[in-house]
Amino acid sequence: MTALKLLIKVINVINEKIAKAFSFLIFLLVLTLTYEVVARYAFNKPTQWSFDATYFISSLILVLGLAYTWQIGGHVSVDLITTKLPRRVNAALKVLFIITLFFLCWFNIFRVMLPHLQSAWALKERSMTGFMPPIYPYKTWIFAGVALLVLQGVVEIIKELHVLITGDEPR
Amino acid sequence: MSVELITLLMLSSLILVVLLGFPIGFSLAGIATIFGIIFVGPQVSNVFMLRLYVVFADYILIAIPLFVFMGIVIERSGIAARLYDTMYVLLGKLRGGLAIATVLSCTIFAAATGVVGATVVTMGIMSMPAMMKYKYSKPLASGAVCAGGALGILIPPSILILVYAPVANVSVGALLIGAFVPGLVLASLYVLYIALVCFIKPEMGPAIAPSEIKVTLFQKVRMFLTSVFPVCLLILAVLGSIFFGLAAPTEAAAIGAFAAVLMAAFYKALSMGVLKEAAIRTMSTSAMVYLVVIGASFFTSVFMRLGCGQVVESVVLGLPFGRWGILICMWAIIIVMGAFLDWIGIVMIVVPLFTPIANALGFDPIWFAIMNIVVLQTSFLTPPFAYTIFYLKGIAPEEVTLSHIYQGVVPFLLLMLVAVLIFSLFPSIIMFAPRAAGLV
Repeated sequence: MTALKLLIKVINVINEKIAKAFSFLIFLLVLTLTYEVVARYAFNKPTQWSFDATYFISSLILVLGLAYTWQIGGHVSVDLITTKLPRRVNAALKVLFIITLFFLCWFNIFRVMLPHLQSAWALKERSMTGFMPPIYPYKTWIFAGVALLVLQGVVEIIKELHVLITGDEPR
Repeated sequence: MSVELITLLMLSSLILVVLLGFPIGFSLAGIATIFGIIFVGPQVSNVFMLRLYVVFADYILIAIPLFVFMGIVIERSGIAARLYDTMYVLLGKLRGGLAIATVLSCTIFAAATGVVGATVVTMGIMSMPAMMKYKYSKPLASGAVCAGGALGILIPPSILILVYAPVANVSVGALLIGAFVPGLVLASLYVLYIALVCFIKPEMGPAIAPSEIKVTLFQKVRMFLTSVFPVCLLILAVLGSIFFGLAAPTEAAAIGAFAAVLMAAFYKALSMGVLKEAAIRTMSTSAMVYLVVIGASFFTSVFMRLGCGQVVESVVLGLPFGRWGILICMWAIIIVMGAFLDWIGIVMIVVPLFTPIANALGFDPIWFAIMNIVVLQTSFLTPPFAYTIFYLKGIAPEEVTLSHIYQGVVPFLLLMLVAVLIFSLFPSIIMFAPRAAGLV
């Protein structure tokens, strides 16, 4: 039991720290895009790298924030019926959905991403568009985001199982 | 198994899972996986992986975190109180003036933040006590806040438009420009309604005695220049740069965000704490939107691959109601769904199904998109799942009951339908601006 609690805590802290740390890249995103417009009109020198830099930065913020957003209950859902059901019935539904809907989808994506990523690294794959920057780092952090999301799924299912079995929220 | 049956099963299981409270994004992705693995094969996971790469590299969607950030910074800059104080001073002496002031400040604030909940809460906290103090009708006051707040999804820059455009495969610039005038028309309808009602029945919104507002003309001008003027300038600068083709919507969003930070600094509301909070809230709000976009992208890829889209299309087009009849049916479905689901779920489920139908019926996709967004606003006001009503109840003074609020939103719901009628009879109200900008 203590081992499980420790696991939940460790995953939660990792996801929180990563998401919050990378969320500050929003300032860099605002600045690069603003600079691009200024460079285009004021200096008459549009940058070559703006397009690629933009999605590199924003994807880091977003994909690494998916798991933490789940942790704090930020993913939008409909609570019309759930608020009227007993907590344990809700827990049973959540366990069912996390296994059949969440893990089936995201663990499979995780599984097929792994070899794909290895070949991207082996080829030192480059983007076909824009400035043609290396694309394998981008694929790496998308993979990292998916992995963190799957880990958060482990936390969520342990929490719901705890409620289902004991009837109490895990502390 | 026939395609018709698969279509039915896929849609009904999705609705069931969503209603049972699983996050909408995970539900879409999960249902897509189950049906994909059974009817397409295990390679769907590869398709989903590639979709992930595409979604996170989508240039237009990057405007979402930028506009969210801009909205949060503006919300924290304390502009709301300044806006309302100014409107109060300028309009308080009119009959119904405080309610009109509420609608106008909500309109500006909703445009700047693009978030309905924040608008209702922030404006409600300020305007409800003021209106109660001057014995305004409780339903009228509540309705003004809810309807004004709901404009947040329509008046650009709005997050809904950024999510909507790629799903419907229309130009995001054209939608942003096109939604502006209809938003103003709706706001004017609300103002006219309040003015008219209070003119006929002064007890619903009594005028404040001139002796109670002692502000010189110079002070009024100053208040206006430091509150209404900078926000409107910011919004118009963002929209103007898109209208004149000076910047892509994503770039315009970044400049808006940059300007919002400067504005907050000007109001002395900028601190490390505010910036930190804004960054973290931007991340979680945008991640929420992105998860739904990702789930919907998985869902549509399987749904269309299995030919379910054509099934829905041919069933709907086969209805014996004629062109406008089918259109009204589609809007009725949106209104009904709006009573249970929130806007992002509706956009992601309904738009990919309805857009090809509207195209087949010969409706302009830009016009259809903006009409849907106008109709979608009702989802914020229709019980049982009406965001604005719950938010307002949470922050309104005690004497305002849920039934006051329910009564109050009814006339505004009807005004939305009036607007739908006006825009249907005169589609150029919507189409004029995008055409002028050369975006259509």
